[in-house]
Amino acid sequence: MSNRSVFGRVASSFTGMFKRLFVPQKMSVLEEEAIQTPLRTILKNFTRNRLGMIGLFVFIFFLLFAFLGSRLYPINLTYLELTNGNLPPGRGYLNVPKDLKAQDIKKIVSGVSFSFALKNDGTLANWGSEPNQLMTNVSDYVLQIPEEVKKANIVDIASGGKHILALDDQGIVHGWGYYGHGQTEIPADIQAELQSSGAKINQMFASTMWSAIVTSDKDLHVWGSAQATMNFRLTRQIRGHVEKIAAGDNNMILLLDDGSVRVIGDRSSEFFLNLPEELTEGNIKIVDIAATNRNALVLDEDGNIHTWGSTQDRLTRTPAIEQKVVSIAAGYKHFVVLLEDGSVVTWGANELKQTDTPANMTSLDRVYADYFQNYGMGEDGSVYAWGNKGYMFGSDEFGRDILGRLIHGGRISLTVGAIATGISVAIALIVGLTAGYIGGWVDHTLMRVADIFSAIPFYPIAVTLSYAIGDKISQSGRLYLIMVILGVLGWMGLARLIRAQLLVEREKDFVLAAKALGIKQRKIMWRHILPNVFNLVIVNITLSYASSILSEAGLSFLGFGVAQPTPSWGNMLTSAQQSIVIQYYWWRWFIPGMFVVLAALSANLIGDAMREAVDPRENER
Amino acid sequence: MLKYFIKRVLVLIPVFLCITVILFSINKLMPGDPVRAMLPTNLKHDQYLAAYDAMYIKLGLDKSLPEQYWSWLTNMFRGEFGWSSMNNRPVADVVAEPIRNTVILNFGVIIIQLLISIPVGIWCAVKRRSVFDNFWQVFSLVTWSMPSFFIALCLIYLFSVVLGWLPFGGMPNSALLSGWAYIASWLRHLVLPTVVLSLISIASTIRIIRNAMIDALNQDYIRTARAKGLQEKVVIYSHAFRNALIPVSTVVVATFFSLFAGSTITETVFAWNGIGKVMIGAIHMRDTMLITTMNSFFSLLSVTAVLISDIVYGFVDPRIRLS
Repeated sequence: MSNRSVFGRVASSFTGMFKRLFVPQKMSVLEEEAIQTPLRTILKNFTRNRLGMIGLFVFIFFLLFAFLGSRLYPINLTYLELTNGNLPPGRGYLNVPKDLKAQDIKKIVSGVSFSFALKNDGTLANWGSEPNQLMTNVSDYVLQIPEEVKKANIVDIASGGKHILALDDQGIVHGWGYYGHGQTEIPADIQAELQSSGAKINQMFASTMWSAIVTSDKDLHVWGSAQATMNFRLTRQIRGHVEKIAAGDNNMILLLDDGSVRVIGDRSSEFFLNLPEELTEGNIKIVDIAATNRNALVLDEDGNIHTWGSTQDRLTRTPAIEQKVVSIAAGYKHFVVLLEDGSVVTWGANELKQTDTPANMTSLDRVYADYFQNYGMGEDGSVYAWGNKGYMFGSDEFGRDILGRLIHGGRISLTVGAIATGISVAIALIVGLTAGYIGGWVDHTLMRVADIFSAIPFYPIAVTLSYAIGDKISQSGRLYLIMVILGVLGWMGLARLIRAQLLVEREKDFVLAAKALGIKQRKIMWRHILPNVFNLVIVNITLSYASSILSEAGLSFLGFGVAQPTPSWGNMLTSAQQSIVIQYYWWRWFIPGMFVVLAALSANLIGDAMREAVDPRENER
Repeated sequence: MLKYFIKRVLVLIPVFLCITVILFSINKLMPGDPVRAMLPTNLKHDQYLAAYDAMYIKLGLDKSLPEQYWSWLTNMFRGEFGWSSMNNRPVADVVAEPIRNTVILNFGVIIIQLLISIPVGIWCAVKRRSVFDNFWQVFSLVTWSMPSFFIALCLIYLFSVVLGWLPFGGMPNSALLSGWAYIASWLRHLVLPTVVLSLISIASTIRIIRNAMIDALNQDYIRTARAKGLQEKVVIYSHAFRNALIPVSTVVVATFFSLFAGSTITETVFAWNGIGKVMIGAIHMRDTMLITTMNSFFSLLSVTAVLISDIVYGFVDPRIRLS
């Protein structure tokens, strides 16, 4: 009962607000002419102003977004994930089509932001968002399956970060997506070699910048980036013995036909150096291999797993596994193993929720992991997906979530703007009131000082100061520096206004009347003159807040404001000085830019509405 | 008039001197060794030390700070702005072309600004609270709330990326083009930066002109003029607008000069080789003398702007110069 009445009250106050905003109000003459205090008049005038109220709501939204949001949604400022750089907005990375049943699926592979399922009937299904932009000589859309692939009967599929390889039943490899290193097409020399030996393709593998195949004569061919082809050369002893490969960007793990494993590639990495010796001897028979970017996971015939590699990403902290392991899989920074009873054990980096398995998951009979996505095939036919859902506002060049940076950048931008405004208003009050109240040579000097500061060109000097002092101080010190620069260079207009208003008010008749009544000078000042000045100040606080936000954005945009990795709305736009960002990655500049515009606009709307509410001249009917 | 002029100049001289003191202090605060920036890097150790000491004395760094300030200031007035370490040329040579480019850009802006904001401002004041007025009020509020670089990015995206009509930015290439093609290329490069700067300045000038006009229209002499039975056109243009021109003229002068410093961001976005871009480039390259010279140039401009708008004020409003 009480709940309903509270709800009713809230609802009616909302409808009342809505009516005040959008439906013209009719009042009788008596109501309209009723005497009320100046504060009430101002409040009434303000709430009647639709634009001002909209501005107020938008502004409150931004405050909640930034200050409440940054509490609820903490981010790690130093986190970056270069693989996920420049991904467009989209939250559907894990949206497996509803009609896709586990028993129809032969295999699922994923790239950075999309997944492909190979169905048992030889067709492909895909979901997620498109990571490629149509840049000249660099990429096709990966989510647009080529016509000849749609017609072909596909038997195997592999996914790199932004490209796909599909093998059809004729033995032809189709590749599409990002081809900046030629990784989508088997080069002519490998093609010729395959034709002369008549070997079939046993396994396809794709990384971000290179692709590889293992042939039926147990040879390995790598193509794509020059570094990869140099890196992944087979020694004579193991050529002709390769069963299967798995790889990170710089290291590859090879499963040989005698059940032993080898690592090739970067010789200085822990991936290479920490390979357990007993695995190379062939005493332990390995049946499956998997690799993250820097770590390896292998499964032996007894159902035990062995891991080695980098200590980053928490991958060496292998959990205790009591049961027999049935199958293994690895994403870019995490491992997934499927146990005998159909349950899953997963560990590794969890910044993108890669290791957060769904709570309602029943027992699985297959599991796939690639990059940051995981798919489990339930025994009951349902498909479970977990991992990176995507980025609502896309990701930046370092693969950081733009939404998170907008929230925390908003906190910084709004705070910097507020403190800068506070500083400038404080200076303006001191200077304006002193000059107006004392007058004489003090007034004259202070106004000359204001002249000097007004003659200082804002952006050049702000940038110079930030450069001259910013080098010598810490990250947070730099933040304060920006506030002080903005505050110290922005008080002059308001100080002149306050002084002028003070002079005008001092000459008004009610002051004369108060003097004639014998009221003390100080009391006249505080009770009769200053309230009129403070109206002016309050109006100007909002307006100068808007301009502080804009100035901070401008300074940060030039690279002389808030410094990375601390986000601010302005410095999120710094990279838009490159034409490639303007052209292809619109979400990286348009979204933060819109936030700056809307925040400044809402503050300006509030300021404008307040000015109209305060200034009686605007009240004419 | 002359007396008024001299009085204004005398007031502004100390203002400019104070600014130069501030600029000199900032110059001294800047990171980097000014002597090392002047020396070639291929010297042997003992040669380097000798050259270092010689340069130290040549730059006058052994003198006291007031002496250094005085010699810097007097050199500047003699046209010796120092040596730009980034270009390895005298600063005066480096800034000549960018100044020309910025002036070209700003002239276009000021013309467009006047052509649009004066009629619109007047009409907004006359037709107060009409749809026309409300539209321009909202327009100026929205543009005023937009950072210039964001307008620039949106326009680049629309006109260069999507429509492909205009270049992304940069300067016309004088080596490849000649004659009309060169002039056309100039115009094409000028369009977007001019539009951005115009939008920003129009936003404020429309409001100023409108408010000045409203104040003028509320004066008693307007009522008198109307009561005399004068045509509304005459009342608006010859009685109200002439008086509204007083604040407007000073604003126009002020915005023209403030454009120089204000176009820093726009020039950077469009890679327009103007003084703003040179300024930012100088900071990235840690070219101390160039930075300081640019700053003094900007400050001199804005002090000049104050002086000129004072003079214009005195010129159009006799009350000011006679009081």
